[in-house]
Amino acid sequence: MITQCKNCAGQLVFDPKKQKLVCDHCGSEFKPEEFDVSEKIPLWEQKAESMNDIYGTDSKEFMDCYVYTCHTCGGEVIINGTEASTKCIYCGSSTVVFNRISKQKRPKYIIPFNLSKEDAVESIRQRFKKGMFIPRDIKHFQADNVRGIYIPYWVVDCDHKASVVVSGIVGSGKHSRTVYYGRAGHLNLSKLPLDASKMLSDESSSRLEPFNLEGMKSFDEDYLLGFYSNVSDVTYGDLRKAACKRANEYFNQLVLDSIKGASSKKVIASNTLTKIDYNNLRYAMFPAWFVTYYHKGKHNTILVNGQTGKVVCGVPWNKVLFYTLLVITGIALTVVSFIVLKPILEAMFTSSSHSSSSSDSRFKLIAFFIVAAVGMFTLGITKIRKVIRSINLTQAQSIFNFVKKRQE
Amino acid sequence: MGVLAFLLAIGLGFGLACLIFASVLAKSNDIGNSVASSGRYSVGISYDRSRDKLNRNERETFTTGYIHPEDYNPNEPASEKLVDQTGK
Repeated sequence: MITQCKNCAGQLVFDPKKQKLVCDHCGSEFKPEEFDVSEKIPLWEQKAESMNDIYGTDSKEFMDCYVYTCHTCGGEVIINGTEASTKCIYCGSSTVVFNRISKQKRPKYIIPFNLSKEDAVESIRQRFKKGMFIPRDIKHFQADNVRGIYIPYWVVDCDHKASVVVSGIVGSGKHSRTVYYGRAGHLNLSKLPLDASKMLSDESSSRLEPFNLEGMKSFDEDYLLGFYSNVSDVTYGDLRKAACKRANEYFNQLVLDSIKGASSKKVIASNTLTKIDYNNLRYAMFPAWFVTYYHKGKHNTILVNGQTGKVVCGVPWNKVLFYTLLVITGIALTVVSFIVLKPILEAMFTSSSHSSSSSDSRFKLIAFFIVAAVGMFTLGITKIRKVIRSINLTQAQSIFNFVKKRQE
Repeated sequence: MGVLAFLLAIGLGFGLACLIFASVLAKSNDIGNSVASSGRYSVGISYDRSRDKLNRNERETFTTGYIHPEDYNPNEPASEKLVDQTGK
């Protein structure tokens, strides 16, 4: 391996706390900039070979399997089609697949890890302590695996042009009416980071944001030492779709926020166009810790932004405690509502006036109460289902798959 | 009357309880469920057209005619091509 300790030729790994390369053997510290990039150029030609090519087969089993030679011990390292750095299973040293990050495929920027492995696990434990419905055994979880992975991103500038029609409710009670608003304009987005790995879902990777892009440095392979990484495998079609989705969400939210005096606002029609500035695409690698733990026969993965320490995960919840408290609170609020509503309804029905208009407004009021009760109940159930769906999203198998198939 | 009040009370009571505990569950177990705000990447929308109280006809035509064929980039890279930094 080219990047060796200048004092003892030992293995170097990047230390997030010190922001330097540290030698495993003698403890010497170096800045990545101290090592000459030109020394690595000969390694750019060394490719990972497909196992199907090596064995002369066409097996589906070997479709995403490549063999790369470790620069330290010469051992064969098995990697998938997009890994750019990993660890050798024989000597444990960091292995960088230079060919995958060379020349035109070389990332332009990297945000180095700012958070060590221990800090990442500690920030998870601190966050879990505050969770009312997090089971006790998860609060004291033992990490099965902690891996620092550089996720590839495309940082793009784009112009989003859209025209939308928004509906909103103005007024209240019997004076409420639906009003329609039209808005058309441009939204320019600058330095929007879009996840460039097909294996990691955009919903999960976008939750790791925000990254502080001021912390981006010129790419150097030495920052990868001690960590895993992947290269971009998305197409222009994927990039456009992701940019359009994000820009659309931002545009719609800004429009809805700008409309005052109306409730239940929603976009009911839109026509959009997102244009990416392809001359200014910036390929970057952003850091994230992936911590997996085992709970009730299932692997769960927690993501931690390797720069800011933001924790992202959906944690399995204590269903017994949740439903018990829900039922108790529901009964208590039902009793209170009954105590309040009964006299009101009795007063309405035993009113001395029997005119048709009075009777009419009584029925309208009752109808309002019925709609409010049904609406409140539906809203409550919908919100619970939405939260459960969101929790399950970050427990998705795809996130675990992104982590698991890597050398130890 | 008591039955009606009871039924309405159940709807309101349990509905409110569900709303409260959904929020508590989200805060407790749905960690980090947020993306960066638009302000991080833009200064806001520059509006070309803005109309309130659209009538039916305006509603149907408002979104058409704003984006023109010449707005599309004729030199966009092919969708199936892998992204690279040359943008070509």
